[in-house]
Amino acid sequence: MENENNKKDLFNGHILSSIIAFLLVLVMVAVLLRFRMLSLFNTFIEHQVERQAESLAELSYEKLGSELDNLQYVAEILENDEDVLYSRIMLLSSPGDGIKKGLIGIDGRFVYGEEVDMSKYPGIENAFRGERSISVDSEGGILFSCPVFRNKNVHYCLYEYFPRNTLNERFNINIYEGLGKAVIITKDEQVVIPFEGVSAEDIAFFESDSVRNTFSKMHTKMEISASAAELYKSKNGNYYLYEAEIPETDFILIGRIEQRVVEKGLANMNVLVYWVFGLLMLLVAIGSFYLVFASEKVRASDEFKKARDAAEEANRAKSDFLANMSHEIRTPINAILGIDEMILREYKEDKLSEYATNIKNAGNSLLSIINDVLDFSKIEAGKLELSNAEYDTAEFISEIVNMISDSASKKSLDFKVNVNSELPSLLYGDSARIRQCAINILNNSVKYTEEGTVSLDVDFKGLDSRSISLIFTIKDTGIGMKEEDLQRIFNPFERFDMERNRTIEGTGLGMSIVQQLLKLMNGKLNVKSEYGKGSEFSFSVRQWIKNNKPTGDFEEALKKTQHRENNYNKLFTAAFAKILIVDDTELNLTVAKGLLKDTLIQIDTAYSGREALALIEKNTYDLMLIDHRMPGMDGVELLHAIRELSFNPNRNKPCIALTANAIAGVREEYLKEGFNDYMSKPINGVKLEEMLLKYLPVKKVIRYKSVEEMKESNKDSLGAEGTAAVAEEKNDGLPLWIRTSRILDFEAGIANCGSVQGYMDALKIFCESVNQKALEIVLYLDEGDIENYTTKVHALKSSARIVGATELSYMAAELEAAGNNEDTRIISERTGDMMSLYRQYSKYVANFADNAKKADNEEKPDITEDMLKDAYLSIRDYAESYDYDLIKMVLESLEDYRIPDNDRQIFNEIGQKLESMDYEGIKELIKTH
Amino acid sequence: MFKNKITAIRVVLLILALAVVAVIVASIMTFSAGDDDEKVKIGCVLIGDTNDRGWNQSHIEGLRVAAGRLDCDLFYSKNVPEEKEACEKAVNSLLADGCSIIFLTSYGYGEISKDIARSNPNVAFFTISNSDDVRNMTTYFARLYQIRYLTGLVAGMTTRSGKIGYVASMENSEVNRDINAFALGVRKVNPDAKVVVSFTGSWNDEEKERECARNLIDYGADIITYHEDIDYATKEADSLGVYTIGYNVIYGKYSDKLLTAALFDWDEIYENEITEFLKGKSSFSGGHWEGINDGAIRLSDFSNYVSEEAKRVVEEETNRLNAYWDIFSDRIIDNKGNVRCNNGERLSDDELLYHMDWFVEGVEFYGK
Repeated sequence: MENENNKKDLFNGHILSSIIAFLLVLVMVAVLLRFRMLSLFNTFIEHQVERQAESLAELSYEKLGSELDNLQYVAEILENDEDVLYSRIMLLSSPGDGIKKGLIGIDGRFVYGEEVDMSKYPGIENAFRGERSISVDSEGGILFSCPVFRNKNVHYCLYEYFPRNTLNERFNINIYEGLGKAVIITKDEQVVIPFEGVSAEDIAFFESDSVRNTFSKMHTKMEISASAAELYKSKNGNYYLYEAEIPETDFILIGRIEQRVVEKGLANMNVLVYWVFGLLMLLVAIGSFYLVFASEKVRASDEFKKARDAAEEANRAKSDFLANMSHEIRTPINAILGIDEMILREYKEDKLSEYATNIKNAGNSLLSIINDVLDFSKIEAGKLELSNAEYDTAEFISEIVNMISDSASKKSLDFKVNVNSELPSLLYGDSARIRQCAINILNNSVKYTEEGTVSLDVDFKGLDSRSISLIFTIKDTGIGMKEEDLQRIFNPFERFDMERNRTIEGTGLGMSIVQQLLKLMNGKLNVKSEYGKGSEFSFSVRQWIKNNKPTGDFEEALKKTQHRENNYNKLFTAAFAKILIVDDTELNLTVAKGLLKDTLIQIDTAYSGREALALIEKNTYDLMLIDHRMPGMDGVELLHAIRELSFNPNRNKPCIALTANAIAGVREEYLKEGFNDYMSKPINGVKLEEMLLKYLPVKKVIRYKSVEEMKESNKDSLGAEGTAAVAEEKNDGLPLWIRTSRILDFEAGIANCGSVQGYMDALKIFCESVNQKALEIVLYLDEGDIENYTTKVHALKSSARIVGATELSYMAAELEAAGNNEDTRIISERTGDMMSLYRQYSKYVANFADNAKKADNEEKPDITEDMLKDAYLSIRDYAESYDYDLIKMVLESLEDYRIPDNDRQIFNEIGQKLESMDYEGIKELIKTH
Repeated sequence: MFKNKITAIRVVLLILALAVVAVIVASIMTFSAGDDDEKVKIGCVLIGDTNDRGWNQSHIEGLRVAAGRLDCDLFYSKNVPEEKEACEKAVNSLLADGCSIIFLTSYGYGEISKDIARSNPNVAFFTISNSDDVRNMTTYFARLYQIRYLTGLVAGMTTRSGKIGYVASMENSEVNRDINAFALGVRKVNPDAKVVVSFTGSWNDEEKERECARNLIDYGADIITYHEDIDYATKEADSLGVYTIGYNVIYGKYSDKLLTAALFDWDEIYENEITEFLKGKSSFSGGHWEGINDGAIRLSDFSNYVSEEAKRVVEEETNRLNAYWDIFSDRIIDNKGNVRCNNGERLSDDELLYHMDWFVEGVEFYGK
């Protein structure tokens, strides 16, 4: 916990330091941005000012250039016409002011005009080379020069000189306020032309030392640029100083402009940038905080998820473990209890029975503990579901009483049971779970009561016309509980007062399970207890009424069930039923076989899915018990194979899952997979028989009446003539050879024909017609007449199904399908198999003959001549109208009489022809007689 | 173990964060108002190798000095013949390097590079030959003819045979101008002397140049000068013990018979040109033709064979040059008897640069 806090502090510390670091970085970036922006602005403005200076210089040049143009104009006139020379120049002359004009020969001789000092003006040399230009002298006067050509060669230099004092007037440039003050200077920083609005003060400003220094610095910049500008700060205000070269001259234009004038508007941009930056930073900060917290949340939820996954993993591991444990423990118990049961059944020796009973009790006790644990796991996993069904109230209570009375009597406790006789006899609900609750509480009471009484009261309260509240009250005179312990009894695995109860066995789960089960059934458990004196538990659950008839005296019902419980009696025999048990453990097979030994059921066993499948393809079973866990092909896979394998005789036969896998929810899973039912191991003999009784075909089962039932029937009539008589009675005269036939499903046949007799008749005809029909099929096949072949096979499919020759019917169906598809390969491959099976039925003809003879000789009255004649006539008439049923009826009625062998034969032949719908043949037969 | 891992992750994160901050800071710092800070890239096309101990080496050395002084980057393409395709290929590779100013250092390049100059109007092309009809191409050169004239004075005063051998590459304004200036110098002090010119037809053909020099000597020339990329002619003459007058630049050893030489100071020339260009002041309407007063050209020291008289005359004429006088002025008659210039007239720069297709009196051609 402390560690946790440290971690948190540490984490918070990290966040704090991160935030501080982040802010520092932001401030740093902001400061940098500010400085950088200022310098960028500065550079930008300097550039702007430079451009302005350049355009100003350009403007100056234009002014100067127009003077040069004038000069060139005159020069061109001179080239063409030297005669007008003098007068032109005179015209150009302007009076006074020291302005000089003239013409110089290439030898430096002044041809005309006032002389100037040539060495002061490089423009004169340029003119001699053929170029015009402007040059300035040290006094600030300027000289415009221009070549005068003769032919292609330079002849003179024409010049015009303006002394300094005339420049202002002539070349002054009017600039607007926005560009500040400017002057033109020489490279020697001599002001040549002050622009308009430039006062003496301004010139003084330009000529001040600090300004000159700034300009000197700017000159270096001018080396690679036509202009330069720089911010100059002074007490009187900040200025941008600028300079630019004036083209074709050695003049420089310099000027100044106030910073605020230039930067007007830029300040706003500054502010705007700061605002945007500030906002962005704010957004980033918010985003960062959000991210930090979101990641913290994610981490937390990650941890939570991890924990949850781990818990789920653990829970799944637990469930798996429980399932495995259940399997591992139940399998040996299954074997022990099964074999013990066999001992109990087969050996009646007292000593042995006693030992075996002890084994049985211990085993059951162990099973109940496992069941407790499993139930608890189911409940905890939320997998326990109620399975509601109809139940007999008295029987249900009896079971509870029976389970407790033994243990109670062993402890010499008085076990009192009081059941309201008005309880509805049939109820609907999950009786198993209610029983579990009652038994858990009762077991507890017995456990914790050393002497005195344990009592069970079962009462009810009508809720509405269709349901009641079933109330159980269990009281004991046991050790009781302290007030503070009352709630703790519901805590799983908790066993209090260990000092005192050390010797009492149990998992400590019982009451917890009870409470959970009741919660599931919307019931409620009330506990009253007095320490040292005893406890009273009561609970009530809602149950639905199925039959409102009162249960009546419970003692009676109890006695009945007790009798049945105590003495094993087989419930039935089914000598003709055939089942398959599949289990990979030989012991389990042995136990199962042993338990069913008395039922006379034919049992095939298989150790694996593959082995079972082989048997299933060959044999017809009435029921299959299939273990789930087997190596190789497991039970579920086997089931799917059975259900999917076409034309196997067991395709629709019931399959029961048989497994020690008793964990919650398995029953539903097995049903979903396609099993008809589910039985958990260890196999309980009675339960197994009940299961078989439920799914075996009724016709094959001979039910035994229980001892009570027999007593009842004894009272009524015959007396104990034995079970065989009862069985024989149900036999309906079906001969043994039919029952034992492996190729006849007689119960299906009986069902199809409506009665045993009808079945016998149909079967007889079927068997008798085998040879003829088989021949027909073979003939058609040989002729390649697939169409007729298919028709015949179709007829065989139907008739075989009717008599219960199921396998044959399947084969015929398969071949019929092949015929329809004209699949000659299948036909040629399989017809042989079918025919050999079909021909097996012909051997039964003899059995019928024996029977008939026996019957004829012993019981039947002789037929009269008239009756015989009438029979022939009737058959002939019916044959005219192709009436199968009526002919059949006549033939059947003839069975009741003893008929001369001659006629018998004819009737047999008629019967055969009838089966092949050969009405002409019938008429022919009758005609001849 | 786990803790170490966490620490490692933190360190990595910290480094990453620092890197990001550094990048941000760097990007803010390097943010500039324009491309002004980027160095100007200068390109140069050379006809020979950069170590030819002659024309090409003198140019590239001059350019290196100038580029260094002005903090520019220098790129060059060497061994580019005066053929249109090769020249354009060389120019294109310099353009790909980002050059905004390209010097074409051989006379023949000017004409053949006009097309590529026209198709790259934002690049400044500088040629030593005619460029007048392309807007972004200009001529840069120095008035070496002034120095040629002075060496002509020396030659005229030194020759005994009255025949001065002149090994030249081919006829063009530049070569002709120099021959004329040299001849004017010779004839100024020695009116009967002849300048015998032998054209090799190439800027660089050692065998031919040496052969021409020998031929001229055999013909009677007692002084040899040349106008080629490399000084094979004067080297040959020097080895034969004949007086020589150097040109452009002096590489290697010469005897004392090397009277003097007409030299370029290419570093000065290039620095001036590049500076003008960077100022945006390069005028593309006319040539940049620097003279004796601009420090771009000079006469080398005289050898002991140069007479005091000759030195005096050279000094006199140098003074004239400094005082508003130039060589091609007053009466000039060509070797066909035509008057090219009258007294009181002077040839314009335009004529000198682009139209010098004649030779002055006293110029003869070997073998003709």
